[in-house]
Amino acid sequence: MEFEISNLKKHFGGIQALDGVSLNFSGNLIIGLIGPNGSGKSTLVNTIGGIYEPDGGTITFNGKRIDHLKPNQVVQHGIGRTFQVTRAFRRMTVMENLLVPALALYPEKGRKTWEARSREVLDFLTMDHLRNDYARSLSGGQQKLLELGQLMMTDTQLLLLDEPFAGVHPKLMESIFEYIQTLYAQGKSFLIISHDMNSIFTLSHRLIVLNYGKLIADGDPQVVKYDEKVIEAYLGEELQDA
Amino acid sequence: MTSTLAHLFHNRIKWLVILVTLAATIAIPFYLQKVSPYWLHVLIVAYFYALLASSWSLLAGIAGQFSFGHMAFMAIGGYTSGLLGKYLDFPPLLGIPLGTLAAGLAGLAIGALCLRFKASYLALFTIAFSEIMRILIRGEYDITRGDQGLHLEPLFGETISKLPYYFTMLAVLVLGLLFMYWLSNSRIGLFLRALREDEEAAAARGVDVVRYKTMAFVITSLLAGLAGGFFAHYIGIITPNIFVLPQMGLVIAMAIIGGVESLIAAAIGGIIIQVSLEALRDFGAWRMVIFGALLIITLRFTRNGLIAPIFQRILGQGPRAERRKEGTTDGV
Repeated sequence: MEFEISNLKKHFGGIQALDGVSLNFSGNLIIGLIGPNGSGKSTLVNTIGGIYEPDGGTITFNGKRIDHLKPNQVVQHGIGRTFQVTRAFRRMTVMENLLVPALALYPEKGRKTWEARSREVLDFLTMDHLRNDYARSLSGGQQKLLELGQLMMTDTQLLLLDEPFAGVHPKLMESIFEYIQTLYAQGKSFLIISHDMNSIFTLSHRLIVLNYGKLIADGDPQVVKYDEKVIEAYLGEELQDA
Repeated sequence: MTSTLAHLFHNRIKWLVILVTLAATIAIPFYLQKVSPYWLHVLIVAYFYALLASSWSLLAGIAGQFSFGHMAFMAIGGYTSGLLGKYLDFPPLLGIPLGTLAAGLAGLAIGALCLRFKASYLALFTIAFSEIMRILIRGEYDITRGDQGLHLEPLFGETISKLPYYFTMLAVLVLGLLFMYWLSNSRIGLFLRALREDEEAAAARGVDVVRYKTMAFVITSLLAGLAGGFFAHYIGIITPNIFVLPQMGLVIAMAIIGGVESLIAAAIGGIIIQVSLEALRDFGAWRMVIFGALLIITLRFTRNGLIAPIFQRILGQGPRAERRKEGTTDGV
């Protein structure tokens, strides 16, 4: 898998949300993305995911330009994402939530095949007993798991997770943490936005830091942790303590 | 053992309800033809509204697109068939499918224009579209006969009996409902509900928003056009009054009181309300007050209507947790 962002720019009115961001990696790894509020983290994920069209720069995935594709086309190329505030289909059952991406992307396999696969995914997430429940009856953490499950139904190679640990019960947080590691072991790559420093430093193989739309640090988490620019821009001492 | 017996009992009740309904819909018209042809007419009109209410519930309740243009698409179906008959001598059996097609094409155009509109803007846009259509038809008197109304050839010649119309309208309703039921349970229905819940999230899961939103508009416009074509040829005249805004409001009230997320409940809502409006005619304007109050109560206390919960009970549907935790009635 090869992923490259080159000189990506996005502005909203007078605010430069992304100011020439560049990033590239190949193979299988977990990248952490941190930065203060308003630094452009979610804008970056939304731009990669096709919700925003960039004002400049390119995004290339496995040799193909994806920067002007719609969200449904981006996911067809193998990049899936979750949302900062969960956006499961609330008045649909858990199983229906899983069937949507599967049937949208691979209708030829048929509903029965995908129903069987959704049971496997729910088993993996220990949510099979909830399969006939409406998504809105799930807790916030369970909805985060459901979004992860939706990505598991597809052949997604790169998963963009926006705050997967935010507002989640510590036990469920541990589960999400383990699922990410299991999926990584199965060959998936991750770009994870999180304010949970312990998790992000433990999980990430590489850490990038955004501030005012600019990439101010990129490298080994243990090195980035002591980068002066990062300490100054983002939580100061607290980051060092993580 | 107990659950198996309960299941069998439940199945029996379900089939009993279906058989009784079927027998009644076949037997009642013969009785009414002898006793009161007027009430047979009321039932035919009720079936027309039932198809409109259920197709609107597919668009609004399942696909989440709150449109006020549904009656305009119905009128396009009726007027197209009428104008083709008047100017080109097209028989109703050719005019009705062409009218249906014209409504579908108009739905395609409006659907494409409304793609980026959120709920309130879509409602305003479709009100404007509907009013433009109505004013255009009123204004073009030389072509459409304006408020005087456009006369249409009867579907079954000069027959006095209303029975052929009754069974035709019933067949159109049943086939329309079966088609919509199949659609809403297919992968397309799944995507439409996902779009209703969250367009952006649906797109992020691979759903082609443009394609399925437009499809919802086209399909429901086709059904409205089909209803309009049959209805206009049954009544024998079509006027712009058929799609004034209060008429659209009536269809919406039927769907909401029946159950906007359930196609069959919306259709039954249409039948019950239309029949009740006629039965309560002696109450004059007060009957509208009664139905207005019923609508307010439904919106406030039973979000998925008054009929849908009954179906949920008979058919035993609805996600487990909703019944267990919240006792709500969605998803019938």
